[in-house]
This record gives sequence, structure tokens and C-alpha cells, in this order.
Amino acid sequence: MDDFQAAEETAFVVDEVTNIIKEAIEGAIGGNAYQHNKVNQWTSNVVEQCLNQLTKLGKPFKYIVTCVIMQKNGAGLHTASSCFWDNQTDGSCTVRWENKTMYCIVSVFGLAI
Amino acid sequence: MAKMQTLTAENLANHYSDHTGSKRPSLFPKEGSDGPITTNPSLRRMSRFEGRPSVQYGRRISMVSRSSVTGSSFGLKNIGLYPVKLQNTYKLQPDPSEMFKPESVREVMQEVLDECLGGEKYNPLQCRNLSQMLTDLIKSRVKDMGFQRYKYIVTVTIGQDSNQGFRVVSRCLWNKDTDNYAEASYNKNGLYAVAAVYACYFE
Repeated sequence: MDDFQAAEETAFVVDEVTNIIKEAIEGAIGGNAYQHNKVNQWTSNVVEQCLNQLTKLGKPFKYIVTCVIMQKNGAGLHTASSCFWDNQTDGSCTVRWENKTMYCIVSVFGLAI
Repeated sequence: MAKMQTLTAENLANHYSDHTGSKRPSLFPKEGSDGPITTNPSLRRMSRFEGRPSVQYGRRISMVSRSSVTGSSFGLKNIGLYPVKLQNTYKLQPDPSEMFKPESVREVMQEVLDECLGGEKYNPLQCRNLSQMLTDLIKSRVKDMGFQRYKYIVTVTIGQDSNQGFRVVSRCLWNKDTDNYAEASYNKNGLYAVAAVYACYFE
């Protein structure tokens, strides 16, 4: 039982991270329309906010957060990732968000220490 | 010696009429189960050992010799029997020669991107497969570079270039002394790609 609880406390919980990412995106971009000169700030805010919340979880992980923002104009976009890690302990989580003018894709990778 | 062997064979035949299908009892016979042999136990066992190849014991011997020849099965068997004990390395960080080198990794990534995307035009279906293939390819190429005890995350983003705004950002929480990243990009023929490799030292 103790082991189980310990595992729960130190595991990469995808749902938890998904919520963190969604909140970070909403907080940084919200209902704004695409503005070229704001994108730099938005992306920084999103990754910053994500990392802040992730560190507050206090789990023994190294985190990698990536954020892609693309203006919508009908162009295609594909993103893929491939990892070499310990499947048992490490995990990833990707959130796709969009509004009328842009796409935002945020991925978080957690590597157990 | 010859007499002894015939004795053994006889004895085994007798023995097998008594204990059918069991190997064990013939090695350590029950008291009185085998009458004919009157020599002392140690000598008796030795003679049986020599007699093995002719009778059913041969199987066990050949098994051992076969596995020792091939090596692989022998090794597997060994691991199962005796847990391998590794010595402490007392290493707290990677050796300088085994550190992740962003410059050389970037070169490899650029090479892969140029090779795979050179001359390509944007095609939704193809790019979907291409992005996954590129991540796998870059991952295996980086693994081949032999940085010890590193975990890798490879991301590739491929898109259609039609003058839209596009930005890729990443931020990491890690040990800046051991962990690092490399990135490469490609932009030609209305197709762009951004690839990144993150390497985390696994302590």
C-alpha cells in the first residue's frame, strides 16, 4: 500500500499536466487574436507558466516544455516526437489548442530523476 | 575397465526396468536396488560417469557442451542462475568524453533533415509520415553517437510555408551541467521543418 501511494506521488500523471497546460494557455493567450509582435511574449508566458506549475507539484522530474504557435491561414502543420527513456517512470503530454486565428500546441515531457 | 563398463551398462538396464523414466534414481541408487555391483560407491559413480555417452546421460552432457559453444544460451542461463554483480562506479556525472555534444548532434540532425527533405514539396499525407520517420531516424542516429546514460527526446515539426507566422519555443527544467539540447531547421520549396533533440543525463 505504501509502495502504491509512493508510486502515485512520484509518477507523471497526464491528467494533472493536461490541466496545467490548458490553464497556462488560457492565461497567456486567452481570447486574443494573432498578433505577430505578441507571439514572442505569449509563447514565453505559456512555457514559463507551465514550468512554474510543474515545479509546484514537487515531483522528482526533469521537465521539457515546448510550445508552437502558428497563425491560421490554411497551411498544414505536423509535429511528431520520439523518445528514448524509461517507459515505466517517464511520460509526456501534449495539448492542442486553437482559436479563430491561431494554433497552439504545447508538449510536456517528464523524465524521472 | 572394460569389465566395469559392461557391469555398469547391465546395472543400468536392471535399474531401468525398476525405475522407468526417472533419471535421478540411477545416479543415487536406493539401497539394495542394484545388486550386481559390489564395488565401493565412489568408484561405482566414476565408472558410470564414463559410461554416460553411450546411455541416456549423454543428453545432459551434450546440452552443457552445446550451450558453452554457442555462448548466448550459456550466458542467458548464467544470468538466471547467478545475478550479475556490478561494481560501484562512484560516478556522479558523465565523463567529459561521454557528454552530450550539441554541435556534433546539430550537424547530424542537419544532415538528416537535408537528406530526407531535399527536393520535397509539401504533401499532407507524406509529411505526416515524414515527421514520424524523421524523429525515429534522428533518435537512432543520436543513440549511435554513444553518449552514455542519456535519455533522449526528439521532436520534429514539419509545416507548409505560406507566409504565416510561426514560432517554436521550449524551456527546460534540468541540470544545466549535464543536460543539453540541439536543434536544426530546414526551409525550402514551401516546406519547413524544425527538429530538436533534448538529452537528459540519467543519474
